[in-house]
Amino acid sequence: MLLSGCADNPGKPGGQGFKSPQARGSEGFQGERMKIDVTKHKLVPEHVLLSDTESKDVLKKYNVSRDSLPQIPVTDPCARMLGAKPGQIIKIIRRSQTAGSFTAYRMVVEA
Amino acid sequence: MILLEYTRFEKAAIIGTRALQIALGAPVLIKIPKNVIDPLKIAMLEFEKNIIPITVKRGET
Amino acid sequence: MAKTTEKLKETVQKELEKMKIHIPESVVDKLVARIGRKKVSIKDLRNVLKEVAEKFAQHMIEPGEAVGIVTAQSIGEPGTQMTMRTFHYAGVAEMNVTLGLPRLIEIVDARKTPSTPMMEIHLLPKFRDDRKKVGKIASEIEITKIIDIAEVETDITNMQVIIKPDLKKIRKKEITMDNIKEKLLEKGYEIESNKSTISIKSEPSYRKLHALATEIKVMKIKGKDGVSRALIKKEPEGYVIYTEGSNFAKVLEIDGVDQTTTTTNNIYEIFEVLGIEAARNAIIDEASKTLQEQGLNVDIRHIMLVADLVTNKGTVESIGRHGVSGKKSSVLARAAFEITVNHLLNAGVVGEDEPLVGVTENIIVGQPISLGTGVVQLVYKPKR
Repeated sequence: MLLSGCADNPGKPGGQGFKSPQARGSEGFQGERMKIDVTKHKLVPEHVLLSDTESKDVLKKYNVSRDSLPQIPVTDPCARMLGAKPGQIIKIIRRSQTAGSFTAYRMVVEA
Repeated sequence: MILLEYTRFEKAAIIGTRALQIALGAPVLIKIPKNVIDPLKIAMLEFEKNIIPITVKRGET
Repeated sequence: MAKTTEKLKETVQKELEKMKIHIPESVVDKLVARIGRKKVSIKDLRNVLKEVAEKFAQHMIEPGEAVGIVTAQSIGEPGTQMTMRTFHYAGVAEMNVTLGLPRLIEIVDARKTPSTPMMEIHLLPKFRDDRKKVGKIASEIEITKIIDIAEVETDITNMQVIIKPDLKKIRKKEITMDNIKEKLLEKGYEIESNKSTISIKSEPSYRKLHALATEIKVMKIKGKDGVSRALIKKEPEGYVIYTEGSNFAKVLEIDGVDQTTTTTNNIYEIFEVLGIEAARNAIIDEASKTLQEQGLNVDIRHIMLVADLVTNKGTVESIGRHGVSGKKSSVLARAAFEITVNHLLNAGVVGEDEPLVGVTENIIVGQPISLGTGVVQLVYKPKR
């Protein structure tokens, strides 16, 4: 039913950005369709869902366990846009005043 | 990213420990100038020459 | 010109990747600007990048540095100067806004609603220059109760409430008699109407009649819940609507509202509508705005650290008993904070573990803490 999670097709590099939720139709997340496109708001940074292999690479690179990552609830509007499931890792590319752009990671957790 | 150099805390810990050893009578590993008697100074000189037999273990806590 | 810098940036980024070193984008941007149109060979560029990376590494925070303490001091000290200053401030177009220390406390406490919720509503280009259209959107946002547009009378002889709408006010708010009737019918009132009045039958009891009248007076006909006032202000980009009260989710759905730049000062609403990352950004923006407004210069990284901390668990937590301090895993750390005996007793009854990893616990126990020199684990290095 969920077709957006790239854990289903791990061969795909770069994960699946949520740049065009419309392109994926209303199957991107369960329940009612969101009336507003949260991803376009200036306060919302870019979220990218990582595949299983990518997540492993990230954890290895920073030498951390899954639980020590910051968390994001499944109910979060951005996580729902990506159709993320608990346990997956979302990469967040923040705009930062000090560093230009900064990459952070959050693990999807049950709300 | 792996830091190759010691952080300032690591440096302090190494020099401090070594200075304690020297103060307690451990043999000094370098030739020291005549007027130097401070164990801390000696430890620092040793540290600069990188001959202190102490290093750090990282990533435990 | 712009094209050359773009290209230069690209090559720099490519080189960085090849050399496997990391320099943040802002530093790369600065470097590119410095190089400008000067001709630099690839070899020189590599050397420069190496040097830059080295210098950058020297300026990074070292592992073991007590950044939290530094943040606490850096926000706390200017905070003492804030207390003296005004609490409220009549700022943007006669609106009363909580600023200064009370506002900072609100942000840190993660209140569900701030004491003065406010929105800044930007409009789409199609609408923002047309005063009439903007007025229409504003009237859709600002809450209108029956009492605002009509006289409500109680008719004791016939046991009914009579609504006499003020035609001028009605027209200004773009409401028709039919709108009012519709709303009343929706609520399930029995109504009778002629051209200029609407009457509602009540049960034959004075008290009930009175209750009905007050109920009718405050009934909403138009607008979004929570938004008590909407002000239109001319800004360089066009008209912008400022509101007292906030209803972020509903306002974003209105046709003509720019969904990308409209904001509210209610962080919890932002969290619910836009998610945790947006809430993090909102906390940083609001806190640094509050400090800046008071003329205090606190480095943004300190505020970013606070924002990271309160959003770490995926929800906006407060700093204090109910938030980050109260949810610490260590018993001793919690006991050291507040209500000591209860925490210790509970932990004893349940049989909690105390792994002694945090700072507070180790100080209580009298051990070196896991910060600074305390984190360093020394081992013997045999001679080679």
